[in-house]
Amino acid sequence: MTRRPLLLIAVLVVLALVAPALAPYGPTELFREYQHAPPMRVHVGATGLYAHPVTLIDRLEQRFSVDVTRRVALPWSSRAEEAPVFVLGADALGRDVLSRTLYGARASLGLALVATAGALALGAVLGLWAGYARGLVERVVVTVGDLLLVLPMLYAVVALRAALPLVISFGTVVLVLAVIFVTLGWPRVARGVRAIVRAEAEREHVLAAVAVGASRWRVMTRHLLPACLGHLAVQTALLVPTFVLAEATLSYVGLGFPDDVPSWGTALTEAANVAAVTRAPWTLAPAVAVFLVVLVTNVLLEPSRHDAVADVSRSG
Amino acid sequence: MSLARFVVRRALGGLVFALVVASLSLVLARLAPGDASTVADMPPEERAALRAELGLDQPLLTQYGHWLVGLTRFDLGHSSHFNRPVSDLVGERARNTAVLALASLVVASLIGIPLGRFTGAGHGPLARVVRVASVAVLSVPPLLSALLLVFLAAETGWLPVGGMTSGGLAGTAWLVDFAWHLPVPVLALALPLAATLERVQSRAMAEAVDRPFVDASRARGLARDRSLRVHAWPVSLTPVLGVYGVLIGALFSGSFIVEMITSWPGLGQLLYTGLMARDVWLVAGCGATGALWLAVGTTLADVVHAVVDPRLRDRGHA
Repeated sequence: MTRRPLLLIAVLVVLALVAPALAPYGPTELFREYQHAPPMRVHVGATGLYAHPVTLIDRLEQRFSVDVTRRVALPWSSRAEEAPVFVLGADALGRDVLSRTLYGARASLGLALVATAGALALGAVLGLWAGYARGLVERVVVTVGDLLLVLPMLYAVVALRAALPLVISFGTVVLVLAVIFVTLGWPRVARGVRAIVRAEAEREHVLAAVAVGASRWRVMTRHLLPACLGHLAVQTALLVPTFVLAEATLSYVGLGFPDDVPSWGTALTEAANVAAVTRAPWTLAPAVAVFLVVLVTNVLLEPSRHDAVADVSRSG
Repeated sequence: MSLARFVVRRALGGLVFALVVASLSLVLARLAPGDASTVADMPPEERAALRAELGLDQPLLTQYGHWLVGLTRFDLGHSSHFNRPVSDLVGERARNTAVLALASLVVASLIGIPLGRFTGAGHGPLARVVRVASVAVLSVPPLLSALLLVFLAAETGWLPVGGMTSGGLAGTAWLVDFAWHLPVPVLALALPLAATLERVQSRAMAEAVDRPFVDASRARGLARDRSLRVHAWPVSLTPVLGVYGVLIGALFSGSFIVEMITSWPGLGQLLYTGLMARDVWLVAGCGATGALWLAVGTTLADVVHAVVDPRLRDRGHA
């Protein structure tokens, strides 16, 4: 079960890196005449893909008319000066929803991946240490881990974030959120690592390594850590969507990224306005992106997720 | 270990957990920059007076001590934001959250368990459809399901998009109005849980169906339906019950965002208000109440699990 999660992570990393490059427009590029412009259908023509431009006919009601006599090339082939093409529509300020969703992938997935790496590293180290050293270290790690594990993730995330200064710069936000996510995420990793290490430490190859005088470091990294790789891979794939959701939730309630940073969460804050969403349901596109990340994980991990749930449930 | 000992140990563990979380939330609220006196602009002497009134001018340990003493009398201090005793506020909101959470748990169980039983024992195209739908719904966490349902409610106009009541009603009219406001938040919270339960029940059922005693009952001439219902299903319920302890936590986590989106006046919303208003005693009170609820919920789930599966009593630790 190590290959599938790793494949998923690789795909997400590539997506986070590449997505902004695929965006036809800048994430903050405003088209004032196109507020809440509807998604435009893409047609296939002899000269390539094209769409019919829309023009605003009623600013108050945000109604648009489609001019079927004219054709504009898609923004990827040539930055058409005549009219912008919004494949997924435009948001309340006239920004391209597709571009914002793609740029949002960088912030949302980037943060989730960084936090996952941190949680894995911390969880693996503490799990290894607790499982191998036993004694007091193990008791402390297990007790603290169990306490954190029982806390409802979203409550804890919101409480920890809200206890810090509310207005902070973008760089600090990334750091703060990553630290909070790592703090709450490591016990999930450490729990399994510790259990595996405890069992593995009794096996002959480990005893043999100790007998021939291998150092603690060597035993842990060469003999115990490799046994945990499968667990780590599955945890990676479970943590990424958890953190993507945590970011979306935080940003939704105004505690995540600042409003001007495109992320899936900040884009969803617009959805808090019921009237705006019913008028422009396409602004929910980032919700679809979050859904897809979670769905892909669930499909890939269907068999192992059950074990993960059962694993947690045994803890009580 | 006897059941009674297990229950006592588990309950004590839950109590310690609640106390630790409550204390942590107080520390967290005190460490946060600013307090009720810095939220609004006021002259220094008024600020000092307000801080003295709220007991914020005393050393942290003294405050903690006072708060712990108050806790034994269910006195959680005074909320500066709402200008009401915290215990009143928290009690009311905790009840609302409990209504939401329990209704969701019941709905999720009623949907998830029968479907899981069906997909676990059956094959055929219908079971496959349910299985696919379940994985899809599992991928719609409460944040998304709440947004989606609110959108649908607004679009169709069939159901109110937020709140718990329309206000100004009493008696039967109030009850009808209340029931009218329930479906959106309850479904938003229940659907992902139902999908989780369906998956777990399905797998447990599939394992139970393969057990020899089910074959034996069929060999004795029991009809397939009866054999599944009487022999396979009860056995498959044990792992399902084990998941409830985890679901309580998920339920809590989900209720926060559902309350925020659907304006349900629950504990999560209150905690958020308190955090934003730097209302120290309110935050601590919410933390204590939430932790208590969580401890009671997980303890109950564990005890039920241990009643059904005695093997767990020896493994059980807080």
